[in-house]
Amino acid sequence: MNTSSNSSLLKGSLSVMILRLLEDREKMYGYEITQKVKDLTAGEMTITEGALYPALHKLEADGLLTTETQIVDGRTRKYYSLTKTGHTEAAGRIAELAAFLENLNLVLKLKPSM
Amino acid sequence: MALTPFQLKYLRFDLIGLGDIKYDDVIDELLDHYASLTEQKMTIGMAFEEASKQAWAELGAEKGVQKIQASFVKAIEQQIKMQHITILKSYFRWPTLVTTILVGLLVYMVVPLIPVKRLIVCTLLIGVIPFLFILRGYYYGFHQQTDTGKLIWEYLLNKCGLAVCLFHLSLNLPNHFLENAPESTRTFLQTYPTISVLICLLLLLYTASFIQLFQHQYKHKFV
Repeated sequence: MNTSSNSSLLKGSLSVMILRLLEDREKMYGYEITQKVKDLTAGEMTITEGALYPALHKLEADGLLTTETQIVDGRTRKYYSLTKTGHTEAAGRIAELAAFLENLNLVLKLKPSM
Repeated sequence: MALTPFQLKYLRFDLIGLGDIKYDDVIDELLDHYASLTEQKMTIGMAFEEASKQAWAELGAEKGVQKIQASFVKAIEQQIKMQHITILKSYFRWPTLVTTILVGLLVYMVVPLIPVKRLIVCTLLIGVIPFLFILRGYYYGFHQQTDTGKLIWEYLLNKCGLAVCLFHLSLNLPNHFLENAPESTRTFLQTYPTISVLICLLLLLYTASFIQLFQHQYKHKFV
């Protein structure tokens, strides 16, 4: 992430972001995910490789992601996609995070009491 | 701008030589990322050397790639453990459970009819076969493989497979090779032949679970 505060804020939501991106696309590879996040946030948010791959590996080990490889430009490219469980889990986690953000927003927009 | 095979080899060397990446799956995944980052920098006019240098720093250099490798190892180990538990559970499911009980019953009826000397040889063989299997795996899997098979052998060793076999051998070897074998072991085998054979059966089931585990490929499918 960009800064250390960003890093800690986004740590818990990284897996949800990955699940959401993969929900939108059939399959994506690591570099593509980092670029997509960068594009969507106009460069405000960047995911480091050191955060992305452990999250991807964890989601794969939990059975939420499945992988397949393809040879592209003389090298092996590993694509991640959601499993059936991953699709279900993604919907739940996204809704959970959205609800949390909504509540957080209410607290942050608190007007000073007179 | 796609990298040339020589440039890819150069990047691969960084991952293996500098990053100490041991597993093919991790090398493949990181090489693609490393190459993509390098290519991106080359499109804005950077020379390959400079682009790769910056890309390496973005990957987190040595520490960064080693952290990624550690996460990969952890994830695979988790998958192996879960798979092993599933395999072991499958042995105690209908109809496998009935088959196991029937085999146990057959053993219970047949064992008293087998002379003790032969019974000792049989249990020894049952102990030796898994032991040889583990030794072979240790040599070929642990020392030579660079894929996830190596992690399965590490898991096997960690799960005391070797210790189980050594324990079994220690129980049987003196009976077979020594004239005045420990009397207690002999008495145990004579008094409780069914128990000792059941231990062997469990040992074989345990070994079979590892064979099944090894057959499960933790590799990625190519499309």
